[in-house]
Amino acid sequence: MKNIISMALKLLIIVVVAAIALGAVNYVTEGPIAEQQAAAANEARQTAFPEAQGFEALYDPESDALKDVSLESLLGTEELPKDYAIIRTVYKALDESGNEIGITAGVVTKGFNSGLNITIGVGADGAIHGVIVGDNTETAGLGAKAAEPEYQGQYVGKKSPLTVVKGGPGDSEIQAITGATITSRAVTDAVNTVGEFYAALTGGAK
Amino acid sequence: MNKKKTRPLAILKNGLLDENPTFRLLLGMCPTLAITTAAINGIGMGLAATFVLVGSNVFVSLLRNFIPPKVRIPAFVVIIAAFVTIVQLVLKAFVPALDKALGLYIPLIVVNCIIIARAEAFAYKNTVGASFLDGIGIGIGFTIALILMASVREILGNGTIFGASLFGENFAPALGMVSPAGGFITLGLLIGLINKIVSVRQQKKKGAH
Repeated sequence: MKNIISMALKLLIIVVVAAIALGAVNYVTEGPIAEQQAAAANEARQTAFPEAQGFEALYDPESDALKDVSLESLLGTEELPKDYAIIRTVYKALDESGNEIGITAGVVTKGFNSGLNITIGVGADGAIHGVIVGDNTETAGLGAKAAEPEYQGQYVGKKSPLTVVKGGPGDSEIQAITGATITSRAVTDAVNTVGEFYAALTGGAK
Repeated sequence: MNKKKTRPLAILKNGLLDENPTFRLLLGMCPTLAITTAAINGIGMGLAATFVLVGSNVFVSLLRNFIPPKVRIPAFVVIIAAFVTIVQLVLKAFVPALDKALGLYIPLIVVNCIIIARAEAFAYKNTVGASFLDGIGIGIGFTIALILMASVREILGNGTIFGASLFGENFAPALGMVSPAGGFITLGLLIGLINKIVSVRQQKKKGAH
């Protein structure tokens, strides 16, 4: 009996010390991690919309100022198309004098695996300014190639809706990554969804 | 396992061939198969695992007289999980560049049974110094095994090595090699090869005596 109590106590001590250590580390690193993530998101927006001089948040559930804004309230509708659920953030892209020249949208969708993060920039004319595939768990050597400039570059200047083809892409076509058609389709669908969303956003405002 | 007197160099070398975690102990198969589609992943996973392994070995060895034998496994699990989480948080907060390169692999290490296997088989019974060396030896052995396997798969399945093209445009890569099936085939063949090398070496040693 005494043995069991001493054993349990020792295990308890280990667990408590581990918990305190974790709490302390979390306390110290929480702020810097949030800063790093904000900086990374900002960098992704800038790469997805190189011409923009600044960004203004339209929809970002993590920002305190915008926590009451939903995609529904932005579009002024009660019911959203189901596809829009993948949109996690929307930022206005601004030129030097602060005029809106397009949007960037942060998207989390599902490719071959879940958790495929993409940042998409769409200009006011509906042309795509950049597609940046960020954190993902796609297969290395296959789907993960979606994060390479050769693939992402295909989108620049094209207008949605785009379709995925297996060779010789035309003006509204994207060449699939060899062996990773599912990932290519997921990225392209996300781009189309954001294009559609932006059309609805600007159409609704008029 | 280590009946003979353990010299530092012997402990280090042990993990490279005779007790190579991947090819000889058959530990950590899940991350091995999952990430060896490109050689660069082998380096990332290998280094991250080595780092965690050294840390957890040292911690477990330090506490080996405190941890009661009957509850050692839950104690190991808590120590390893806490250590991995701390490493992950610190990397994320202060070394974002390293986090970008290794971050993906760190959560995978928690489920890597090499870590707990070395805690149980080695660190719990040996001094801190020896456990530190064991962590490095096994870690490097794991890294080399991953790079070896990933190189085979990347060259055959993608026609590249560390991302550099080897055969030019006309090479038709065997996509199956980067799929899970190709992983199992590569693993099986490499295990066979390494076993052959080890047994030949052992026979030579016997003959010498």
